Amino acid sequence: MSHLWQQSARSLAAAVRAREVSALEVADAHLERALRHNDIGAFLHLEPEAARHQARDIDYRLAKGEDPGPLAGVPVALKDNLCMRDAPTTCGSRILENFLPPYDAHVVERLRDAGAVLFGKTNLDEFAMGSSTENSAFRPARNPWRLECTPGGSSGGSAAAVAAGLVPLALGTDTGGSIRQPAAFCGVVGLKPTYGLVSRYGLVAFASSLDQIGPLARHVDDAALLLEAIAGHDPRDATSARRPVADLRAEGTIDGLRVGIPAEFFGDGLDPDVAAAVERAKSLLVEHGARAIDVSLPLARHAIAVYYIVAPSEASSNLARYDGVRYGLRADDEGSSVDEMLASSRGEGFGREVKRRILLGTFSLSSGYYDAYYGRAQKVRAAMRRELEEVFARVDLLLTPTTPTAAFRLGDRLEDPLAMYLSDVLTVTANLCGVPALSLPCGRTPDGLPVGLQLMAPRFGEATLLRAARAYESLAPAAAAWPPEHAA
Amino acid sequence: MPIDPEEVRRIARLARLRIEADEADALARDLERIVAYIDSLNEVELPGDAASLTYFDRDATRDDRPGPCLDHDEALRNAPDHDGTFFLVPKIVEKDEA
Repeated sequence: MSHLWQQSARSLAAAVRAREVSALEVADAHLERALRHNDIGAFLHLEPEAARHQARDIDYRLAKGEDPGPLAGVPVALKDNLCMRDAPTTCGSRILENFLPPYDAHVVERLRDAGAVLFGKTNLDEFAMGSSTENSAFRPARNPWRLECTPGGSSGGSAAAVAAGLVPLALGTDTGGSIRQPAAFCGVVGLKPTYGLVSRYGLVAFASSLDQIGPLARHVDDAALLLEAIAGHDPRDATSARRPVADLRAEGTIDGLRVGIPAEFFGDGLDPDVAAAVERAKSLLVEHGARAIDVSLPLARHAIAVYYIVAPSEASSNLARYDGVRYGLRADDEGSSVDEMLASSRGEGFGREVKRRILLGTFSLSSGYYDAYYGRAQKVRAAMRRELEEVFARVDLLLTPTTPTAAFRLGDRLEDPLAMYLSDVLTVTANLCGVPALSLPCGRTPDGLPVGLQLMAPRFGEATLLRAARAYESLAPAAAAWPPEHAA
Repeated sequence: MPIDPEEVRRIARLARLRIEADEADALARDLERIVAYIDSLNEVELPGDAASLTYFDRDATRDDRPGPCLDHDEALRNAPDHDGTFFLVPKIVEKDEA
């Protein structure tokens, strides 16, 4: 019999609903583990009492004969940019250090309705700006596979927590790769849904035309289970899609599945060990009936440049709300005018990377530069989306590496923002074009670090993504091994 | 394009962001490198119909009907300074100017 913390979310929910184990026992097993493996820095706030209270409530409802829902008693961690009523929501920033949201995010409401036990808030790069979780104002998170490496970012805490078995499920957010890149680095499954599939109500905004909330899990089926719980229309998000959610659990074959291989994603800078692992994964899918088709996305080469205009521009506008008046930090030395109070509160509250992006965005949007930067980036973005749609007329999925390299060491890219930005070179296209994309483990480098395989689908193609990922997972089950340092 | 510490301070004023003297030099160096990288977009050959290309679809709007919203006390709860009714900020209008 495996430990409770080793079990999948699906089997935990089944066992809790069948009353073979109590939700409280499940919560305690994971809480004990989360406290013991605090060295990973996965959590910014753990809510043991609240979690145990929710678990007892699930057990009570089961005893009365009620069905608490598909995630009954399953511990779920939330990235700390998702609002949960009366629980700290810091976004990894000093400016929100003492903020207690007066309401639940849409995804939090949905998780409560599904019977999940909300466990705590996970570490992230400040305001989700970063690719290593080193930009957290509080402490960096570490990779359970190797503690001197980063778990990736910005959802590094969520990915590390799932990889180390502190929780079976976590939510992350993905603006340029922030779910998929840490999933790849930590050897777990991460899915960025189609833009509009999951409501952003209660997600602290970074770049509103790119941000999406999505699941991290150790198994494809578990990611599907969590996505099903949070997907669907919500009138409080003006970009929320009004369409029924597809059946994400449907089994199916990959026979005849047309898998596009975009040459631009296998170019310079791709680590040979990562390339070899992805090549093996492709061959395995082809051996089992998929058809590999070479395709080209020439504009994808410019994705990082477009992203670093669009995302900071939106961020500079979204982060204007931190004014030291309604919530958040106000500088002690508030000066003698509202303007001085604003500038010193923001100067004191934001970290270096957030300032860099606010300045970059303000520059791109400022008079005299707007057309040359923001305007041009939007044109290229629209052309990129059309180019991708044309390719999706010929293939069902795209297959690429998730990241050019496996996890890098803490500190390696911290002083070189451009090198850090290029960590996301293979993931930003999905955000810029609004399509869903998933990363799943596809083996390890000779050093023992996980490698991620990325699949991308047309808008609302989550069911196809999950079907292909499930097929790969069943063909290569070794992918789900535990990090050696956290196997016990 | 060159970005010097003075330009960083100009942008920072637009963004209402206080930048320490020692930060401006480093930020200028970072921004100059990043802007040099994003300037590569000038080399992109856009399709002939680029002028008419737009990225954004029209957002949905919801009916303009009153519904529950944040209660007054809850709205003030996270404020750094308030008097129970209003948010408080440093004085905007001096008495002798009024």
